[in-house]
Amino acid sequence: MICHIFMTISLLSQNLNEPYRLYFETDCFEINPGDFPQLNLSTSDTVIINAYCDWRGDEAYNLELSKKRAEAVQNWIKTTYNLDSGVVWQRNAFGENHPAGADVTWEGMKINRRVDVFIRRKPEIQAFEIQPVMVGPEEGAFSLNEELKISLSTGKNMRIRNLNFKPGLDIIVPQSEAVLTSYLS
Amino acid sequence: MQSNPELEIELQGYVCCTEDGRDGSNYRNGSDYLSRDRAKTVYDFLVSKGIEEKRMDYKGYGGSNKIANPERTSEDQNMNRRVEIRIKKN
Repeated sequence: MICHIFMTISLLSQNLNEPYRLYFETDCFEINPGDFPQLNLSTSDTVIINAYCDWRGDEAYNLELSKKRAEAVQNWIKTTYNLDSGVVWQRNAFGENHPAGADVTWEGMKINRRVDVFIRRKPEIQAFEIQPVMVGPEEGAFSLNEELKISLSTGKNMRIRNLNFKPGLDIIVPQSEAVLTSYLS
Repeated sequence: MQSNPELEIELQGYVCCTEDGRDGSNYRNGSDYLSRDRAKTVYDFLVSKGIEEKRMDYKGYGGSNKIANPERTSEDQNMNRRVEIRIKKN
């Protein structure tokens, strides 16, 4: 089948939450390179590619189609930016799930035949400091043994008190490292 | 963990600041399972200190079971950005 290439690209922004969005013609996964936006990519980035279809066709077929759309976009980015290593790729094929537009209208279906590309940059260390983390000792904290006793008698979870993470990260703030050590014993 | 060798636990990670209990994004590695990654940070620490892996599990619970709800202040957010321990066996 020959696909008439129809693609609109909106470069919504490079904000973490706003993807580069590409639209596809019905039942197609071809990309028109001329329409692809300029991506600002470096080798330490994570590129997240989420691909979707409209509701027409059966579910398995659409899942497969969205996979092909995701692969096509990944291959295109790889080739164009000559990226062999470094970049972390995350491809998600959602088939007809998670529509972005109303599925009952042509306009809506057009929006649903899409691929969203997110580029996540490793934050600079300084970026963590913008949002201060409050680390005051919490009131009403018990000793570890008391917490364990309470947890055993009530079946409730033990919370690791005063163990604080940096916002948006799985990294513990330096002041909290001693808390972890205390849980060892 | 060291003084009670029978103890088996599940480490449960949580995030703040998301709606509908959804998980957050981890800006360090681009994963969309920040709560799991946090639980794993604690897991990895305990493993690195010699606690046997088979005594521990880790799991992400996203933004569910908030302690401070709604989150109004940065202290509230800080409180919800957490890891809990469930005792599986003692």
